[in-house]
Amino acid sequence: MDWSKAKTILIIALLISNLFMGSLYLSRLSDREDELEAAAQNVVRYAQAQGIKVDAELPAEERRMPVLFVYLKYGQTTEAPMHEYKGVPVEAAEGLNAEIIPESEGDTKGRLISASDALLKLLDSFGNDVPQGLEISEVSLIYWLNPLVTDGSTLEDTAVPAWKFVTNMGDYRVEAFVD
Amino acid sequence: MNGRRRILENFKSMILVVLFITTILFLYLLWSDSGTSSFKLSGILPFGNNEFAAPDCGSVILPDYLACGEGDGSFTLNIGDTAPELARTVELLKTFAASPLSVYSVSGNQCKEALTRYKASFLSWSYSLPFTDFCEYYGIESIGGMESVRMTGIGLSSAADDSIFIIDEKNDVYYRLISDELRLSPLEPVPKESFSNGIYYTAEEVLGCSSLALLPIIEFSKQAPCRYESEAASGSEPVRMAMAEGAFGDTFDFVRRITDSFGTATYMYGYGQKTLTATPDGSYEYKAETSGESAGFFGDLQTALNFVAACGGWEGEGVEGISYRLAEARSIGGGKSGGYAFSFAAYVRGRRIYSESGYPIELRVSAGSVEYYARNVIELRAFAEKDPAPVSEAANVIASNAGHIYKVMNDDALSATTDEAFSFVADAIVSARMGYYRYERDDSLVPCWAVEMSDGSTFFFDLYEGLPLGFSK
Repeated sequence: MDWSKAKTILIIALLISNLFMGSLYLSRLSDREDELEAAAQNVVRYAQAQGIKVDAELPAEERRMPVLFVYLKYGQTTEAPMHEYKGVPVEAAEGLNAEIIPESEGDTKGRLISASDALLKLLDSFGNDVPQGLEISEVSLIYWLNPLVTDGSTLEDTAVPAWKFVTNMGDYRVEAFVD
Repeated sequence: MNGRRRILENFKSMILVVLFITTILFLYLLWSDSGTSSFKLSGILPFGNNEFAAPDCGSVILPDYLACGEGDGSFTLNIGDTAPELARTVELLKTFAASPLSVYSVSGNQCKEALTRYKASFLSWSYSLPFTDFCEYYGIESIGGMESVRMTGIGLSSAADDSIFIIDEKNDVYYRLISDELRLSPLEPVPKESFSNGIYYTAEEVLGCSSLALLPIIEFSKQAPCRYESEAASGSEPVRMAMAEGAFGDTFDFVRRITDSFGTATYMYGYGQKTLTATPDGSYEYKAETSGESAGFFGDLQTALNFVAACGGWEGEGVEGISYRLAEARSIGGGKSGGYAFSFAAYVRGRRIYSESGYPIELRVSAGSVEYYARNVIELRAFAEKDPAPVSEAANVIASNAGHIYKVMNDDALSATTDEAFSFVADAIVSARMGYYRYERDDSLVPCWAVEMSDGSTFFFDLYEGLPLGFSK
């Protein structure tokens, strides 16, 4: 058997299949981005039809993130400093007077819902009581800690990725893991 | 030339390897991009998938004991490994069910008389089993008229050698299966180490009461105190993580983990659909929402066994292995969305370990899935025995502590004379067994008498001194 020739044939075959799969993957990515952008525009139009003004750009990208394990430091006399983990701000619900310090991340990254899906979820949560005059000025991804108790007994907890909507009527957060 | 060719071939081989890896990478990307967010390479590869060895139902539903009576009121009890006796009884039932037979309901007195006044044998469980499920599990032909019957015992008596008695003491219902063709004789005790060396009499004979609980007259024991440690204390974090991984499976990486200042760790999936709580005393509690269908007694029991195998395991660790046996089974709810609550007791060398805080392993299987799991198990550091020594007689222990038992059973609300208290207590005795009392303050197992009463409470007394150790209600 001519191994040299066999190798050449195999290289050509694998090269062709890789080029095919690569182009397929890139075209899927591009299609998905287009879809997300179109979805974002549709959701913004829908929100405006509901009386909500969206002055922020909805990020049109798909992301995967792990959970974030944090520990809580109590006894802050002033406002607790905010931390970031890999560029993502770590925030907690109001009433928790503690510094949220990132410790480590989960082993597996989970798929997140898009910002437009999160906005739809937010609109859905309003039901028939959509706040009139609501203006969304910023949409960003954060690590969100919603503690079960705020009595200072929790020492370690888990923050999850969430979409944060900054509005003229306060901030809203929508947990971002795909169900 | 040869050198250049060799370099070229090596280069080709290298390119091939790179292309092969790139192909796998592209396949992975395309596959994972096609909507399967749960795709994991480890999920389709054989390594890394934990397999847990779960016992089968037959090994945990062994009867509490086999009692063999001579007809004079005395009994020999096998309280250890009752598997051979159960197997023999199952074979008898198989033969019996395959022959023409009739089913009659009999009174408790008739049944008890046949089993205590004549040469007889009976297997006894502390919980009731659905008779039809039992037959189905062991391949016994179904018996008409017994569909909704539950049983806590199976008896054979020389008073009725054409019959098998099916006993449901919990509901005070008794059945007699009469064969037209077969003649049976009671099971003979098989001499073995686990056989109790004492002679048992009914409480009726010994204490002159109405209870038919079996009490030993003279008993020797080699039991000695021994030390233990709780499972969590022997390696808190790894044990907890293993438990949580078993309970949450593939979703474990997205489970919320919370630790509080009391040392309690909580694992929570979703908005509380599944939670696992590990407390510093070494106990665990798992709760989950369920939806599905009950698989019947044995199906639900196997679900429970598999779940425990995945979350903590069944294997006895430490110097002396601890085994588990089903000690209580209750039906919960009804229909397909119902299920069973199972409680497992721990045994060491055939002797049960009792605790005031309940059973070491408890589960509720509802709608085909585990909705509740609590675990508080121990590992023995060293198992000790001593030369056989006489124990306090059970009847004396009960008689001398009747006032204490009476007070606890009546929440200190009723006063009674010594005779009234004794009479009340004697009538309420369900069983008196030797075992170990889990003394949690000292992390030790103390040899004890465990006296179970009809209201569900159990009283523990030092085996040799007869002094009260504690009680559970």
